Amino acid sequence: MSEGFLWFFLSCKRYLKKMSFFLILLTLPIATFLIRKVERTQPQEIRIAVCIQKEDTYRDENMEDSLEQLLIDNLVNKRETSGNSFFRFYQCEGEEQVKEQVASRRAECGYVISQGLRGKLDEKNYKRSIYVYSAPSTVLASLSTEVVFSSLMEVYGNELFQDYVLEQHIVSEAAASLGVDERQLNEEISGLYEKWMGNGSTFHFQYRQSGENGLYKDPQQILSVFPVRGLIAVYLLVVGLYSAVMLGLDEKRGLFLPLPYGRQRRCRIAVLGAPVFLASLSGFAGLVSGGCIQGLGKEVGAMAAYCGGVCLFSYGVKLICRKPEAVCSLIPLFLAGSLIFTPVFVDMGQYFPLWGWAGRLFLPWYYLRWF
Amino acid sequence: MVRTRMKVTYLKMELKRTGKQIPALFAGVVLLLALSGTAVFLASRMLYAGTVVERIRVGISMPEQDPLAKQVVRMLSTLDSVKSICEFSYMDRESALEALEKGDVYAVLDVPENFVQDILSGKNTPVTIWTTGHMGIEGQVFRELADAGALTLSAGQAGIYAGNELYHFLGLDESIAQLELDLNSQYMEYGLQRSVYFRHQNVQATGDIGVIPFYEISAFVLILFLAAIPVSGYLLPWKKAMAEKLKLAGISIGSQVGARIIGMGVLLFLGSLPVILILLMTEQLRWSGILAVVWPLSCVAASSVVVLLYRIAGNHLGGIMLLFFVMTGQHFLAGGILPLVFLPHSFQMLAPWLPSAILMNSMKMAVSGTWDNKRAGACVILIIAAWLAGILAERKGQ
Repeated sequence: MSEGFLWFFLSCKRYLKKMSFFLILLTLPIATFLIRKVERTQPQEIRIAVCIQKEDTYRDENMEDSLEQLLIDNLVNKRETSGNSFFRFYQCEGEEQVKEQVASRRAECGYVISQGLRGKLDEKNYKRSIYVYSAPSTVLASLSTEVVFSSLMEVYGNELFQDYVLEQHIVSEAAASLGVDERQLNEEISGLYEKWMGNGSTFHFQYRQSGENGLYKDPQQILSVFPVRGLIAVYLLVVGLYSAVMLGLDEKRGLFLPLPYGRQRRCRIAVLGAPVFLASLSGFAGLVSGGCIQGLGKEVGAMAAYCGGVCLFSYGVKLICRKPEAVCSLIPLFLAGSLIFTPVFVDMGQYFPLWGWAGRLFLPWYYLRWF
Repeated sequence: MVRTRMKVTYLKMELKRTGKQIPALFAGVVLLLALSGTAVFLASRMLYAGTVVERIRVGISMPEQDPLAKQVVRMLSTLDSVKSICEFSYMDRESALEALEKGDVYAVLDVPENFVQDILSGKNTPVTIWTTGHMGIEGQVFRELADAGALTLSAGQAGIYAGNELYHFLGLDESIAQLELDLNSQYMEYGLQRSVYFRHQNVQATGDIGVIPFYEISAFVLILFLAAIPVSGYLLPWKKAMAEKLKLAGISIGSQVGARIIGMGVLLFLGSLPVILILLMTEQLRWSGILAVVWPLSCVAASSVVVLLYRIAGNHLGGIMLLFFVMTGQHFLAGGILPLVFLPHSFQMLAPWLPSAILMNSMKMAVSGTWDNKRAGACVILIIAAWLAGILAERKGQ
């Protein structure tokens, strides 16, 4: 056993002596730290251009109270008021500018709102009253229409209410009998809708995130898209497989020949495990610096089990393939398969259940399912 | 003249060395193609068999004795915008939370007791949405949709509640039922036909391509990098003694690195040949003069990056680790996996300068059939920069 440890220690030393290897090990935690820092300081925003159809009406005094301008103001201020939306709407001067912003990909998509929207809605002639411009490579245009529509309903909902109550004779009669004049009635009516929209008593969702020990906490507000854990899982697998290639090359050079046959296997596994161990330290540091740690015990246990699995798997692949070149040719298969079928970037199993089953053929799937 | 002849001879030797790598290269590429074929087959089979979905599975937990709530939620699940993204499964609260923990559902909508009665009475106990893990893209999209839907419903509710308050203030309590009925029908009329409000139009930017061709290009660039792994033995720099002898023979470090880039470029060209042939045969790509220029150029550019990485690492394992970071991390930050729009602003600014983005932009020219000097120039600059950096790394290594 101590011989295995000696080989393991010497193998670690052999790799760490190469400065470039040591620096590469350091790269991972530094890179994840920097990426997470950027993600935290710069919350994601998806820019969407909006404008009113006719260019010369931009910020025209007569247009200030128009429904289209109210809708644009509501959209532009949405991110500030709702706090967690990832859409940032910004106003452009006209349709051409919106198209140019979309074509140059400065905006994910663009909305051009017809003039006289209030009249069109009042007359129920609102079909295609909002133009949506998107580029072929746009992915979020259809989703943002839901947000624009809800904003329109928020703004126009007030007008629907006011128009309805002001049209009712019983309202003006009842107001007159109470000594409320028309001006006072209008003031009363105009503030009521906003009061109910803003006092939190209308329907809403509350979000909770399942946490450890059955406790629940509010979900994280920061959207972190860089898949630190997934990449580390695949990284360890690649290091393990390549370590098997190196083991094959060492065997070819006759590194294990002086050893008695019975002791060769443990020394081989020790040699194979050394880079995996070093990479796992780097990976663990990457998880810490990337803010992905979910309980130290769970992380250490999962990482140790996964590294053990990687070593056994890689050793098995090496035994089956025998030639290091053959193992090397298999690496792209396992690497691409892990990236495609396991939830490293996107959990495709959520959309295609069979995809999830294919993921079980790749080792990172088991590690990622723990978290 | 003699030196030039020596350099040509060296290049021939280098190309001969690449020949020995072809079996390993094709073994790797064939396996990759088999894997890609499986992925495409699985996806198409699932899509055409209609068993999927492309939707997020959401568990709904509802109180047993509340048929009205069931009716409302079932009505919500039939809305087009909801149907397009979510697939609802009805279960009790414990099973739903268990399914969430297991990852069988993406989220759980926990509908409270007396949900509909509360809405009607103005109490509005919120529906809790349970999610698990960190909030990914799907979570944020789901939340955005849910909040938009809630806001639409809130607008109608706020109008009705405001009317109630006004009528109560004016002493018109007996007319409240009629007001609710009228306002409700108005809000429903405007709210249920959301798609008719919008007219979608495409804006075609020069050289822009659709989402599917974009991901085909992204996969092609990844294959270029992946194809380098089976031939990594070829990529290691010469040992010190050999490099010295080559220098004495008039083969400078620059020539050594340059010849290696060309050799690797030839290998990547051969490795990507089956991919290009498949794309041409399936008519997803058209043969053109632009493709004839851009394809080899992209192979040499990818080769220059790979050669540089192995020069920096100086050894097998370091090389493969660096290559892994470039293939995954850098490709991700270049927008090759998730659309750039989801990344922070500074990453979006950085993206066009990353090797993957330069390679993808170069291949975009072949797909869109539009030549762009800037994109081709960026590819050439990448090759020159990687070659110079390779020389520097080699000098430091020696």
